[in-house]
Amino acid sequence: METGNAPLTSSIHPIEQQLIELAKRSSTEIRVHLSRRWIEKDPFGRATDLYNQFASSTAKSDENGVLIYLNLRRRKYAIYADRKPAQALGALFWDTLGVFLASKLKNEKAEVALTSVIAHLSEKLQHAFPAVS
Amino acid sequence: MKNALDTLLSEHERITGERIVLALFRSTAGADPAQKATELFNAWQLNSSLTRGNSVLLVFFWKEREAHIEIGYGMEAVLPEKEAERIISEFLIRDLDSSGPNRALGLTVFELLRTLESPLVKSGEAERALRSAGFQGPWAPAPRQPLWLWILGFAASGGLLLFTLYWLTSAEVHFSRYGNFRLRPWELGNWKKPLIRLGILRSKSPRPEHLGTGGGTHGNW
Repeated sequence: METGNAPLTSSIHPIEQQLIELAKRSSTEIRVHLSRRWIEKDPFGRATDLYNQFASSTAKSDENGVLIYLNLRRRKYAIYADRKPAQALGALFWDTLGVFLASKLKNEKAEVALTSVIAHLSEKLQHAFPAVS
Repeated sequence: MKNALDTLLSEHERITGERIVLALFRSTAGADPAQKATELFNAWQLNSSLTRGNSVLLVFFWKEREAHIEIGYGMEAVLPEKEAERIISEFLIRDLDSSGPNRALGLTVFELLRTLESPLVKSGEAERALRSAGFQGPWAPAPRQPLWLWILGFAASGGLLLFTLYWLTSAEVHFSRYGNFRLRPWELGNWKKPLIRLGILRSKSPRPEHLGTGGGTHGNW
């Protein structure tokens, strides 16, 4: 998918910049998927499917990727964490992160809210899964 | 077609004494078709003792696609008003829309002759005359599309329109460290899912078993 599409913008998007930074410091991978679909019954299931569809093969085989999914039309979010980050950070962390994301999204633009959440998540992932030199 | 109809109606009159007259107008010019037909019927003395009321007048207005059949008193038993109305609606008007004026007029005259039990129909003379004038197709009006087919057509078109709008307005963007990409609807592979579930297609990225062991959270804002 990475090679088949033209980039949305020529300059690097702040979210993309954060993901690049994380890749330098951690062995994990974060992906962000924004949707405007009208029907959204199971955002978590969708996030899992998208993770399976788009996460890199390394992240999938290492089981250490995370995908943040937002449906901007239906105002629903889901964060899917693969087995290792899910276990390393614990269920409470993910629930708290979800609440944090929801509160940010209520008050700020999606892009700004995501930047805050990714920054927070990146920090945790860097400690739990430092980059392999 | 005009000459064939002239010949046919003259021959019918010669054999049976029944006069069938066709009067075609561009437009009603605001007049009532039935009233106009009655006026013409009287003006041309089609109900007079000369014809013994054995006359039928078909008046047709092209622009408005309206027609009326005026029936002489001698013909009312063989050509009741309801039957005349049926011939107009089922043979003349419907075929005019689907097959054009020549076939519609030919078919209408043929049906009138058939209803009047003309010897020309029984002998096959009417068929031959109309065929030689270019009449094509069966001796029956164009089939009417059933209502359920219309409803089905509208429902299918509406469904397709809604589906297309849904598809086009459900834009998706994916961010990764490699870049951000706007995903076209067909790149999401959603259409494949039911086919994969039914076993018709095989998934390119089969869901690894460990995916179910992951965690996370979800909710609304």
